[in-house]
Amino acid sequence: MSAYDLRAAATLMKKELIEHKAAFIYVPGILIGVAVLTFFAATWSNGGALKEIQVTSEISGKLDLFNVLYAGSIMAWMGYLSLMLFFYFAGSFSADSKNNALLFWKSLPVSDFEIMATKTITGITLLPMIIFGWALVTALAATIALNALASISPLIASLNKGVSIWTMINLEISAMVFVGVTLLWQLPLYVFVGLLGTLLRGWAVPAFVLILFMLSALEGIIFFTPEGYFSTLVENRIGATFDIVGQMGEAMGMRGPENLADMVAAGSFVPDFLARINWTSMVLGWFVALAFVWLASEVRRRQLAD
Amino acid sequence: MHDGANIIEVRGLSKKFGASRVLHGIDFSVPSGRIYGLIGHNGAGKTTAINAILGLTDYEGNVSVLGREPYRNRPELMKDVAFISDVASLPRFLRVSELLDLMVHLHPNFVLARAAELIADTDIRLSSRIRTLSKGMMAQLHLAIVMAINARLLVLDEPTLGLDITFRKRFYRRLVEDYMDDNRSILITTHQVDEIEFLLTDLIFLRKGRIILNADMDRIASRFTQIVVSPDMVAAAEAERPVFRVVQLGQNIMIFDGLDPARAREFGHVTTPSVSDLFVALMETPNSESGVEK
Repeated sequence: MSAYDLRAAATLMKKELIEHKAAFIYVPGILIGVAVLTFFAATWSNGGALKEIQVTSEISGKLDLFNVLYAGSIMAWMGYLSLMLFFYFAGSFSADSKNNALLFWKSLPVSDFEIMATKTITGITLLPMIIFGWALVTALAATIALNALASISPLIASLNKGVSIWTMINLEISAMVFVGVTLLWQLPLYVFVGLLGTLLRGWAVPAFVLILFMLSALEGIIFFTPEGYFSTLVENRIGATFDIVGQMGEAMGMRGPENLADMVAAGSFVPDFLARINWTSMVLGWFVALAFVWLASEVRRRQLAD
Repeated sequence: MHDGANIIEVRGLSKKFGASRVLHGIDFSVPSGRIYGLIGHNGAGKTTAINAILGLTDYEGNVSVLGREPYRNRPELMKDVAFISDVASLPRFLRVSELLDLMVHLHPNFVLARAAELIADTDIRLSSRIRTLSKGMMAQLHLAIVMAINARLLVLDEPTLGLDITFRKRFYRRLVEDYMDDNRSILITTHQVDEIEFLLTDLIFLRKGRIILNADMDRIASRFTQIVVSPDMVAAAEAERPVFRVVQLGQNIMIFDGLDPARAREFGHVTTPSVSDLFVALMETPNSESGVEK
């Protein structure tokens, strides 16, 4: 791959970002802005009450507010990312056809496969990185907000134990590894909805749900089993990495997301998580995703305009 | 690098959509340094032929553009071919400056300075979002983008649709004066035939998927004769089998194919038919595909 090809790929990724900036830049910014405003409004109206709440050792021993907020916000952003990526893949594979623009894109010396591959790579690299940027902004905002609250409320002060910068970085890295691996694990599903997008445009999402449901139901009826091969496969593609984190938590005697920071602080999250991944299945999934990208590009090659 | 004489070679090009055949094995070539007009009614097969040449659709037959088979080699071909198939096809979510930036990095033969110069000649601002531009401005921008590509073949399918007459004339003048050279060729389809007549070197008429005329403009001028026939010569002129005859304001106007000039002058006032007159004449002539191809 030449420097020119790399520049072209970077340009196409930038184009994808510009096209989807509402979902990955504007809306997250607005959400954080609303959260900050809500915080200030709540503090303003409830400041007096907060000052008067008495601290008990029972409460302060059980909770670390920063960890809850930080881990919770990362999980919330991961949920947001998964949802937005699903709709990104469903829409972006056919988005070039909007307003007859497909003819313009086809006038460029870029193949349909390169375009589709770039859309996929953007979806699993650039866009998640942007959401992680927003997760960091959230962490920063949470730190400032908690410290501000701690100065007026003994309760918050007792609950705001804080974590070291290293733990924060470690948590962020662990979350990035988890999300990265989860995206790569789920890639065939994302690209499948993209392929449906090239065929069915706006009907991709309902068609995706319907196809998975119908195939699972047919399999169940034909083989008379509620957990057939196909439904198990899909379930595994959607939830395997979450199950792994659950198993790791249980192994450490932990339950629930509030313990995520402790798990990370224990230092073995990333190697332990990676060791539990079925890499053979992961790589097979990439080949399936590649086949879907190729199929989508062949569909696109045969399309002219709306 | 293609070094052959013809930029486009089309042999036996056919295309079917379902049971309907829209192109019936057409043949033509476009050498370097020529401006071809591909003219036909709606549904005649012009856009299908152009799509095959640009690698946008598969087909039966043989098509070679700059020595390459277009459908399998479109990305490579687009380095040397520029086209507008619809003036309103620019991506609307981009700003003009972002579009230029994208072209710089995606097209090796795009000349930014040239595009900037052409855009500076319009009312388009670089900071404008494309979706906020009027249809005419969008067309101007698209034409500026296309003319800033150092391409050997420029294909224009209804390039000035929706533009006002001033811009249309300026665009076509620029095309000839600034863009065209001996190394390039242009293939144009338009319904505004009279406006491009002055720039065409060759003409192809397409009717119902078949070529009914393929000739250079000099040959057309020497071959086709339009005569305002004197009333007493009508019968004699009709005996020479005109390809077209119409009565306008009491005058008998006939168009002949291959009539001897001396004989033509005996019938009345002789002129060369305009492209639009010739188009109407040949489109309305039954079986005109026989004997008029190049």
